[in-house]
Amino acid sequence: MSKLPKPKDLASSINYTPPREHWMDIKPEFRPGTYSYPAKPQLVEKMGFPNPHEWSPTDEDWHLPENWQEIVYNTFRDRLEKYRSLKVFMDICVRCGACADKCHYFIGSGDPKNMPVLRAELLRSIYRKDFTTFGKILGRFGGARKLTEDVIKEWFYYFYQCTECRRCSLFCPYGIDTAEITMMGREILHELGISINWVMEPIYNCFHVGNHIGIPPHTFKDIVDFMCDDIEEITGIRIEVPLNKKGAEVLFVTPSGDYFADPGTYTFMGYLMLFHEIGLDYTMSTYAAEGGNFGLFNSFEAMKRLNAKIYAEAKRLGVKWILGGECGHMWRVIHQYMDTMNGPADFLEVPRSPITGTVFHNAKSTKMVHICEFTADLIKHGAIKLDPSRNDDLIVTHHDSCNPSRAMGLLEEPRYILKHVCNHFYEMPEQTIREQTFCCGSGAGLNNDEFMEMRMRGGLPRANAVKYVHDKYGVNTLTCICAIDRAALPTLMDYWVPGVRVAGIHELVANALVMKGEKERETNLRGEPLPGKEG
Amino acid sequence: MKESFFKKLEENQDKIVKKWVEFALSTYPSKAKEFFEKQKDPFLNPVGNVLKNELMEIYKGLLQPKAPEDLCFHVDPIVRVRAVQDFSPSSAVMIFWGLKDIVKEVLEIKDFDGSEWLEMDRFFRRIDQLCLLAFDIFMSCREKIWELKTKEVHANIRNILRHYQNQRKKDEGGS
Repeated sequence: MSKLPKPKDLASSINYTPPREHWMDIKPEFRPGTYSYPAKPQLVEKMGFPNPHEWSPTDEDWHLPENWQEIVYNTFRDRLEKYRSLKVFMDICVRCGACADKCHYFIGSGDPKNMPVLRAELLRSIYRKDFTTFGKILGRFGGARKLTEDVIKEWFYYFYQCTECRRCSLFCPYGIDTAEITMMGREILHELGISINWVMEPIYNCFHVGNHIGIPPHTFKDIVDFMCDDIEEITGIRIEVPLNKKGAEVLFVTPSGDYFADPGTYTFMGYLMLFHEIGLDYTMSTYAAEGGNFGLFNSFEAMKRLNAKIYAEAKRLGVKWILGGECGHMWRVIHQYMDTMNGPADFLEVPRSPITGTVFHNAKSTKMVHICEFTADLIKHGAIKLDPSRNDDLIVTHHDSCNPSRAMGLLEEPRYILKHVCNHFYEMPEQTIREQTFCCGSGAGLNNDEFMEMRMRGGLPRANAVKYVHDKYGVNTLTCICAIDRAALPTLMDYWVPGVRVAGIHELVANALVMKGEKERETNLRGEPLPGKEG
Repeated sequence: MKESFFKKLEENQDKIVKKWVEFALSTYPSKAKEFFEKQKDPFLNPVGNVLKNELMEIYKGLLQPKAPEDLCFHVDPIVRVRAVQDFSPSSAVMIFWGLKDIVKEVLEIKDFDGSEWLEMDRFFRRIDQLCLLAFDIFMSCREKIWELKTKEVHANIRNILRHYQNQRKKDEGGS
């Protein structure tokens, strides 16, 4: 008993004051809930990625390779030579602070190292020390520091607390893409064998099987059949979904979240109903059954390999062009990296809607069209019949999913569709939507359950804006065009704004879609009674 | 006749709440505190604005003869935020206890007479009840986090489960 501290001593040892030291001297504390689990070494090995090994964030020794400093130096130097943008981003920042308060993680947590400028300094301080004369001479006075194992731990902690949403980049007067700094940070860590399993396992599954969750072709077909059963029950129409059909005009690729996770499943049913109704000559592939690209969250090499699969399948199946579903980062990869990474896709044709004749010149190099562009075009040409009153029980607001919205500019199309498929739509405050949209807090491979506490912090600004329209207008539905959003936002809503459901745009499209030969619908896609059919 | 303790609390409301907000914000690192104080837009700074607005409402509520449970509506947004931030349970809810010291400091309590001490004791008991309420809310938030983890896992595998249930039915039917 004598070893137990006395209450007085215990009370005096509790310190509520945050540390005042210089940021370089504060080490991150790895508490459960604030970090994602490490990648399984066997998966790293099977992918042929470097330095697979067992390690844990909470251990003192991360078992880094013997020459880890040399690996970091060489990787950094290589990327600086390869990407002119990285060199510019390292040199050009004047630390004006315009980005400092723009990150949802900083806004939600108050952790200064989540200020994008400081998160970039984590990398930049090493750059200064190793690659600039100024930093070599002035050292810490010049913002430089020595590379130590603690720096590696800090990189892991903070680069895996950035969702690469690019909201901060929007405000940078120099146009520094802070998400790309995070990507480089993760890429260097990847060379040391440091990455997270929620990213590595999907990469492995997608590369070896065809989708993030590792669903084999026969199971994929089974799942699609379940959806067709549900659609038949609701509409009375039996839909056949073409799989691996050679010679189809269009290859449709969507994130696997749309067919294995609720509420994405309803969005997926929406796609199938729409394609059936317009008689689209399309196919899905069981080998490229994944729009998402978790490679983006790990390394350039992983991103390239996964992206190449989609185009290899398009070539094998002999389609003319590719239609992409409501995915987030798939579009960042396609829009920003595909062309110089695996493109141009010369073997495909410039996408042209077989229904309306519209040529999508914006996709003439990647040959890939976003389904919201496609559907908005159908509506514009009156190619589908819609009854928005079927969604009258839904009071809707729209979350601009970071990657297709901010990175790709898909701002009007989702709204155009929504205004035709529902009668009650309200915008969130303007500083939280469109280009300035707040991330769900779970992007870039952080939508795992072990990271839940951190996700709730990061998602606070988004949820706070939803709460406003929920309280003011009675909004009960939050739409989005990203599978990670559809997986993560329901949880976020449940914590911050109970009573708001999450839906993809095409779930609402399909509810409103009047199909030829359909029976009188009694329920929506979720099996709930339609407005007026409650009795 | 001397002013009552509650009258003094009312008169010094702005001063006390300002110090209380300042105290709550000082539990964050200096850069964050600066941001939480300065940014007035509630959509760009939910943490700072929630603290500022809700602490004022809580204070006003504590002066009323209603039960602290009625303040739940205002305590919840503060604790809900702190329950997912870098705080231990005690640090998350200690900001409510902090009000006692602030009141003592602002009202210079050492000069009080006997009747004022009794009123102060009554007020401090309310703060104690408020703290217990905050702890209950904190716990419910943490339990919610665990519940959400389970729900998410279930939502993510619904169709996989359906596939295997279907497979089992087929196997049983065939045997």
